[in-house]
Amino acid sequence: VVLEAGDALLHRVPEHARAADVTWRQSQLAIAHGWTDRAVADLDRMAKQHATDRRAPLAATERGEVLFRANRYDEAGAAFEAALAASQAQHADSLVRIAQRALPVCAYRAADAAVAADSNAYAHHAARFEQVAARWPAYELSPLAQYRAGLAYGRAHQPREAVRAMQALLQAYPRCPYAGDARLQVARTFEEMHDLEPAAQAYLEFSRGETDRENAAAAWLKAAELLAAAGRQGAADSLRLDYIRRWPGDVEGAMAIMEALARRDLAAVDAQHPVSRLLGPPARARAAAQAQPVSHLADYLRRAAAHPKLASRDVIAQVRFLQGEEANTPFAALRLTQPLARSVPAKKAMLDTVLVRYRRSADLGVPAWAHASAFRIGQALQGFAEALENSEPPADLSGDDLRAYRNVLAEKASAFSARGDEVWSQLLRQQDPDSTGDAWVAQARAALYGRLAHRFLFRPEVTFPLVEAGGPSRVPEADTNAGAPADSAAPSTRTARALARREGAPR
Amino acid sequence: MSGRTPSTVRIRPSAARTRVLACLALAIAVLPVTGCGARLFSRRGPAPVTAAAARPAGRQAPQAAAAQDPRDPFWAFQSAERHVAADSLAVAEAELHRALELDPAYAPALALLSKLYFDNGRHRDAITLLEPVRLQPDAYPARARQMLLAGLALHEDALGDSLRAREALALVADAGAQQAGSVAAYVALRGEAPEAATALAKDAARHDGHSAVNQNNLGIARLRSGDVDGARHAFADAIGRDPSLPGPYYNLAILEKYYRFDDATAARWFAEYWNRSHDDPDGLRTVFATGATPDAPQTGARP
Repeated sequence: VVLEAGDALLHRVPEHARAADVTWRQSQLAIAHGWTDRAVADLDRMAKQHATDRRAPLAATERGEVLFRANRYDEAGAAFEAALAASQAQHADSLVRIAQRALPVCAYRAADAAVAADSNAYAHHAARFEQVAARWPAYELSPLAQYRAGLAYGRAHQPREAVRAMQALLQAYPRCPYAGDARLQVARTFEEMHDLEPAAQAYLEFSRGETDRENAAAAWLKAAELLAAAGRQGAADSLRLDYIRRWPGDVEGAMAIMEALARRDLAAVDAQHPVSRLLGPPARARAAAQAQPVSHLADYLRRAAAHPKLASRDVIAQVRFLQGEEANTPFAALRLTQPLARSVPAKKAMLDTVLVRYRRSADLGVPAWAHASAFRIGQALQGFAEALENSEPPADLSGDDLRAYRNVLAEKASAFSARGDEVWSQLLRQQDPDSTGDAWVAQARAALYGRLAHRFLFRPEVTFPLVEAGGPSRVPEADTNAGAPADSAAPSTRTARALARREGAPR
Repeated sequence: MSGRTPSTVRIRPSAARTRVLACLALAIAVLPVTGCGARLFSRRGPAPVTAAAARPAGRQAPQAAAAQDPRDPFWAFQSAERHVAADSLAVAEAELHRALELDPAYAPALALLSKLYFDNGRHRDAITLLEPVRLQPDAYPARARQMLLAGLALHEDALGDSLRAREALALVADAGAQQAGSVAAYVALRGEAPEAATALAKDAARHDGHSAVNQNNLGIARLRSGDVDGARHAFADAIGRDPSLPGPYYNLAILEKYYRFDDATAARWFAEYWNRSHDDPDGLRTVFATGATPDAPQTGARP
């Protein structure tokens, strides 16, 4: 009744002297009764038509509050903008502060409501959240708004915008609760864009800022991995070595890192860079433990000795194999010269060293290196036999004496070559007969078959050629029907068969 | 790699070199000597003749026929054939000489006498017998000449003179002649460069793939070139074609033991071989225990 009476009065006399009072009264009644639209309309009329009234700023503010309570945040934001202006015009400072506090809240709630209304409009959401953070950086939820802007850009498949938003967050609020995750998001986004170096840098920043040690460690290694993928092997190695220093408790990780570096060392081994240089001089255990390793490989082997369960048998087998190779080179090059009483024991000692080293590699049971070592052992034995056979003879030997000398050597050499054959045979015996095996097995097979081809005489057979007698006073012809049935064979053929039945005779 | 050293070239040291050899012995005394599976340097010689075969009834009796034309060497040759079949080798040889007295270039008698010499290890006699063929090849019909020269090559080879054997074979114009091809492969397989035998063995098998001999030799060539499965197939084929031929069993024993490392199968093949021949060019007898008599292998299959 009051509202209708007021409406009637204002309709009849819009410029009534108490119009502001009536309007104000109506608005308060509507607020009291929870009539939102009515209250919003009355308060709007109060603020605009009676702008000079001292209650106008309050009306504008209340209008914003009514709209906010009705979850109409965009309208509430606009209402508070108007309230702010009205309050500032009348120097109502407390209302100014209220409006100023309300504005970012309304903007954030509006953005949040937009997400609820349409969860797929990511780019739109991102822009709204970013506006909140940009306009009201001091607002307590601005870091979250900026973070959500970054996330939304990412979901909108705008990775560069996402990175920019997250980096803005990190610049403005480096210590905010979202900073760590923002760094991670930046890193992942760069990684997805295959910007490997920036991604690595972002992971590093994440790692440095991360309080969770496990996450920080993983991010550090990830950064190294990305740098390596970007071709910056040196930087990656530095990071990995830093990792070992920063996280000394991760023994397994350190072993994995050093194994990779050790393998790279091993890959560079050749005649000019033998493995012994990587291992350093042998030293007493105590001194060795204190000395700085001369290479990553040496470092790895030291760690492997301390943690044998974590050691790669493959790496150790390769090291031992390469030690065998290193000993094998001078062994193979050494010729047996006169006097043999001196040179044979010297070469034999080298052979023993070679065999021991390859055997130590084979004993680890790593198939590839066991095969390689077995092949080399056989090869070394064959090489010794060859060296013996081809050794320098005494200068004054010739003729039969020289041949006799050679025969004695050949007899001794055959023992070594037979041992070599047996080593290769053992290697091949362990293989699946239907598989070709690896390259070392193939080499051993080819070498053994080559030896067997010359070692055995085998038993070839022959059909002794006979000539068929054509008959009395007839030109003889060659017997060409050796395969014909017996009952049709010519006499000479039958003779051949009769002879062939004699044991050991040509057919 | 040590080559194949025929036992015929092994030489004893003279007393004058005892000092040098003593030094050598001292030098290599440090070397451990372990057993070697197979004898490396032995060669197979001709096997003894131990069995005779009954000869089926033939054509006209030689005595009666010879009475018709006593100057025709055919009759003496035919008589020799009958005596060979009856295991009367001395008489056969005499008959062959009689044929050659009638016609020194009578090729059937030359060839058969050459084979008798071969079986008895009388290679020098055979070479003397066949030398005229080498010197005057045009005196003999073409195909007969090829057979005689091929036989000559076998004798040269048996004496360890592979060079002269190859020279004799080089005179065989038509290397595609079945038996000459077989001889060429055989001589090459026994030579110092057995890898050269591969093409000859393949050629021989191509010209006469039904020959167990050729399949056996092809198997050896394949084995030496590393084709183990192909070799096994060829040996099995040879056994299937002529189960009495000893070579494939011997070679399969080597294949299974040294190439496939199947000792049990190898021993069974060797036992089968030993039932057929005691010729042992590689000294396998010392490797295999041959006491047990294995079951007869299936033709063309593993025992």
